[in-house]
Amino acid sequence: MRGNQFLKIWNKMISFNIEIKNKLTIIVGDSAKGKTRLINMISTYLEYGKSSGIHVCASTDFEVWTNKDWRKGIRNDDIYNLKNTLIFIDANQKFVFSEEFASYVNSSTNYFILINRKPLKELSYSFKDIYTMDIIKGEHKLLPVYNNNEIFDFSISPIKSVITEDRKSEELNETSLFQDE
Amino acid sequence: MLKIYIGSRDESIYDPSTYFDNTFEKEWLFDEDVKRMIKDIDNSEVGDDGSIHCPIFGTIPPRDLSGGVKTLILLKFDKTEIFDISACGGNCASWIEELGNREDIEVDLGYLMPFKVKYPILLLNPDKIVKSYDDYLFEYIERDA
Repeated sequence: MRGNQFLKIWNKMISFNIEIKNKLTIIVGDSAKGKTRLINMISTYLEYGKSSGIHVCASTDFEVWTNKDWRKGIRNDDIYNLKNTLIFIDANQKFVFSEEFASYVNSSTNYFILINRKPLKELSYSFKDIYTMDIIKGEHKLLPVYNNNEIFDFSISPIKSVITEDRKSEELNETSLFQDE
Repeated sequence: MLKIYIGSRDESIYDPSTYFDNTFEKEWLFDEDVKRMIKDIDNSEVGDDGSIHCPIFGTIPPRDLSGGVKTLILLKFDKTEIFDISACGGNCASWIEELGNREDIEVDLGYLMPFKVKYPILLLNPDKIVKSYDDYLFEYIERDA
């Protein structure tokens, strides 16, 4: 799956409009911003469909995974047949820290939306993939936590080189910050 | 004092929200600190009868409180376990510092929570007391590396 994806989900009281730009989307941020409620609403819709009173409009299929789903999916090989799907994962799902999950993400065509404040050291993602959630004009939306200018003031930095990621090659390169140095 | 283990230990409660749902005691909601936590973090009010009123959803059960508030309540009332406070967002940091200033609280932490370090904090692995945000930042990075 390539390109931007979206999922809108709402009921009479609350509405989420989630835009997903990359394979990995990490949602962090303050408590009580609606992160877990989003996961619960999607789960409820997946279980009860229209009978839930929840409405959904999405660019592709979607799922919610828990530790149990992951274990079952690995055991049955189900997850390897899953393609082009938005997979939402709430916090405290330990499998997201595993090498096995990272390997699966790398080889998958699915997009993964993880609610997680802890470092995901096995996964390869950019600061641009980190979002917080807030209410904009009555809708819960994802907002980038960082932008290029806020990350670092290079002009006063003692750092002379950085490790960069080439998304296409998935290689890490050491790059000089300043051309003349 | 607030005592923080950077990382996760197997014996700690890594999902305080679920733990709260199964150990909750109604009396906790009559505590003034808890009422203020729920107002401050979840923007909800606790009535005199212990009911929780959310401006969006109306009256809600305790299990619908945020993971952050549930963890704060456990830190105050449950001294039998060590909780992973990664379930708390940055907006819970001042509450955790306040609770730690009143009595000894030991927690696990999996991300750089924005403590103001208003009171000294003991980082546990290895032991080091930090008294400023800069110290905390430096020591956190050392441990997380």
